Amino acid sequence: MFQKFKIIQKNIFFKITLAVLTVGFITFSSCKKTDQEPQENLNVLKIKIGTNTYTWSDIDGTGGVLPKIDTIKLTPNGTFATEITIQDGSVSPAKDYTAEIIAEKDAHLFVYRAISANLTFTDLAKDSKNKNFGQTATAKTTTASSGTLQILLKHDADKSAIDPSKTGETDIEVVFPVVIK
Amino acid sequence: MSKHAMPFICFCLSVVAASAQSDCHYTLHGKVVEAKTNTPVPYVGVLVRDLAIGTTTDENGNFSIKKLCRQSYILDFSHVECQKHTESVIIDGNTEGVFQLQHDNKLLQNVVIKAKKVDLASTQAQATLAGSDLDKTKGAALGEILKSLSGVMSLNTGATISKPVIQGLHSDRVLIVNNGVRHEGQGWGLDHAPEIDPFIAHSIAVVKGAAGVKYGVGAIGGVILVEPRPLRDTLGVGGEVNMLANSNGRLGILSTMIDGKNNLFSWRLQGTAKKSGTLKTPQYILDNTGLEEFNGSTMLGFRLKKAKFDVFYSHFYSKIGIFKGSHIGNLTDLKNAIEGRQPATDAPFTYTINRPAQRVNHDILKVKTTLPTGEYGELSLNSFFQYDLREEFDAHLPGGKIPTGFSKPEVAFQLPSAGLRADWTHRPFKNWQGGGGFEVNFQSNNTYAGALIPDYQQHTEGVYWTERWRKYPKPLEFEAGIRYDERHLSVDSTRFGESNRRFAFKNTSANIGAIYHIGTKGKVSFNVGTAWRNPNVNELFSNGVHHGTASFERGNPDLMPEKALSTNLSWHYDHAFFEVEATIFQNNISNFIFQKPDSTPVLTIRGAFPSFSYAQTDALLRGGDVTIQAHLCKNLVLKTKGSLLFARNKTRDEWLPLMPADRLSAELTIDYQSFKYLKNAYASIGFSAVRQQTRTPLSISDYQAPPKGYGLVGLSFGGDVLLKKHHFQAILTVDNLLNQVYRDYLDRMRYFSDAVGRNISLKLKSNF
Repeated sequence: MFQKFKIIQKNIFFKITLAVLTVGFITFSSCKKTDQEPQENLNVLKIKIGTNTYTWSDIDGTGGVLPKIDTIKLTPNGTFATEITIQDGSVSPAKDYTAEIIAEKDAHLFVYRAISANLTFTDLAKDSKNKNFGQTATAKTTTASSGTLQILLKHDADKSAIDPSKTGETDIEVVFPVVIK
Repeated sequence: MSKHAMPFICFCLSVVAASAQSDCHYTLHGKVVEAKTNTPVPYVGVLVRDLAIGTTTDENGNFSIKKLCRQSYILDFSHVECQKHTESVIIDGNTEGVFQLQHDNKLLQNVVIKAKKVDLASTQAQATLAGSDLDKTKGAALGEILKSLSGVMSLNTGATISKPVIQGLHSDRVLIVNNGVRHEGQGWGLDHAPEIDPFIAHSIAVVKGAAGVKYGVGAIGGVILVEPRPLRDTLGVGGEVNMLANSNGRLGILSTMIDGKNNLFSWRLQGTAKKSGTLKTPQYILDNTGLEEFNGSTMLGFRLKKAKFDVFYSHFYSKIGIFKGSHIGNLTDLKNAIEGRQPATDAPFTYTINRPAQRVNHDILKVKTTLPTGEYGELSLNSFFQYDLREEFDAHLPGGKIPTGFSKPEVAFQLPSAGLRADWTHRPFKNWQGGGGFEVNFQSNNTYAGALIPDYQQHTEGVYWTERWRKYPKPLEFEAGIRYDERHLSVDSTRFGESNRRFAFKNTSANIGAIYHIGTKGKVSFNVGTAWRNPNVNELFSNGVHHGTASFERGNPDLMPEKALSTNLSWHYDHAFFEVEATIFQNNISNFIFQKPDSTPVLTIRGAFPSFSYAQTDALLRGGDVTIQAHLCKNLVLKTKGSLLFARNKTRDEWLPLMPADRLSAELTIDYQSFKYLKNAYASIGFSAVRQQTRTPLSISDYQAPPKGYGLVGLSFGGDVLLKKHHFQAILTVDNLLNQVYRDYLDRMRYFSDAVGRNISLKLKSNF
């Protein structure tokens, strides 16, 4: 009698345990079916100055191989039309994001900062509220010099601020070496 | 004295034991003392009414009755020239009780006997939050609630995300056991709070120090034990309603519980809804800091033949807005945010939660079976399944598109786990009590959006045995235990530029401890324990920018398991006028995993990020905490708590970062006041002071120096309100009464904003 009791208990216990574990494993196996989302990846910035295009690229993404950075070479006392292109170079062919950024130009701002090089950017492209957007601009050089050009792409910046680059979030912050001669 | 006291002594006491007819092998060890003087009372007759067995207290007031079942008993205590009085007490399992005889002045012939259940105490330092102390803290997140225990701090990401810190350790180094099973959530991130509804808890205990033998992998710094209320044990239906409102964030909570018992089973339904809007610091509104939480649980208990079943299911859901001013793109943004001081984004109050935000769902299904194994002991089996889904939503992505809505997370993990734990406790044999068991656990992670950590599968097996020796009333008792665990981890790391990797981690843990009772009022506990954890996948394989901290993190697949050897020494003294609980501890952790700063920053299209690699060192954490409760005069209680921590990186000979600063708090309470409509009323004023953290590493440059020390004042009033036939409990608390502007070192939002300002909270609880 006692033995029989024990067997009944065991059966009930094992059935319940089995049920819990089964639910577990069903969920385990169903989870694996979810697809991996492709990541949006910005890793190439190209700036066309006059007729030349200079590239900052890090197509293997953060870390790993060091970024490839062109040196911008300009002539003194020149005026050049500039245009920025942004891409994901990790896929082939490279996927362009410039149109997307232009579509959201009210929320974006390109900032140009030349250090030591005698280079200035004017006529920044405007957004729908006539505030700076800057995807295209005019670059002017004066005397021969060398230094760097920092290009920022800000998101949600306060474009009316004294220094808009100190507001919002930074999507891109790259530095090119510059030689004017 | 004793001659006069004797006539007033009367003994009648009913000891109600929880039901379970099958196991009749429990022993009640008791001691009868005179309440005021604590002097033992000898020669008291103790009779178990239904069994007609009995005994008499010895010269020291001690008695013991063996072979008691888990069922209701009435114990008659008798002494010469004594009248009877009935007092009920609950005993479950082997129990020690101190029975106080209290002299009642109004009724000279009456003496009330009060008994209090004393389980075999842990040799390890432990603190428990239950009853009215827990009620006072309700409404806050689990991590915040535990801060009211000495030696427990919290690591915050703003006011809404809070992780408990025990003796300086947190996340993967602290284990949470929820209703008897390991809580399998995503504990690795500093901004991943435990996915638990505190309203489920009836008591929350914190075990301090390494406890690998009892709890397995991860119990390096300690264990948090969340215990739900036991199922109803009397026939009928009842319930409880909790309502809570906060001024800051205009938070509202409704939590309801209904339970019942009929002749077949006991049941319970419980649910909590919580909604809060944007929070305020003393000076500005913290944009997008709202939260919502909806939780529900159900429990069913029944018996089949000799087996007892408890089925538990709970669902946890929360959505938490992340302060907008903390969302940064790169290091320059972080520095701008820090220099800016005042958060740039200022907004009106709203309940709406926008991106950035995190959304968490957690489900637990658990079946506990208890069945007697013949004459020798009892087997308890816990099988569980847990499913954790964490989704994180960014405010924007690099590129033009601005994400909206909450349908597509940027980072998402699915973490299902299933496990089985079997514990067998043997019947007390001579003076030995104990048992052993095994545990198996499966877990898989699927990172289906974002690529912070790779997918993995792991299975863990553990086997343990512990024994406890106690020969009542000998002053010395001790315990020892041993455990072996194996964990096999296979990682799908192809996305991380590595081939798939398999790891096998094995470890043996051990534990010894002792308690020495000094008279009836004092005791000293000593415990040495070990614990371990394997390196987590993020430590093995991280390779990317951690945006919250604007740093590049590099994993290291060659990391070894971390092993802790911790020693705790506690002294407890329980005098009629004051209680002292003091603990000193040392936790020696070899292969302590930490982020070592790299010499060159990593250049990305978002700019340069400081780079950190996961590395190992030997760490030594030392500290202590003390709680002193003094009954200054009638109904006036002063409770003082303090804690200190010294955490060293031994290899680099410097301090470890992100360790809690020294703190001291005091609370003055007037207790048990009764008015016409208010019973058991209390009023308290509390002050807590936190020092500036000066013990920080020199080699890791913090973006901002640790914030200055601060002091906060809080108030609390409460009592049982009696209105006609209605009866409810009300508590009114004020936190940060002086609306102090401050930042805490352990708050990751301290770089961006002040901590929240004054909050007035009203809590109502009613039973039906």
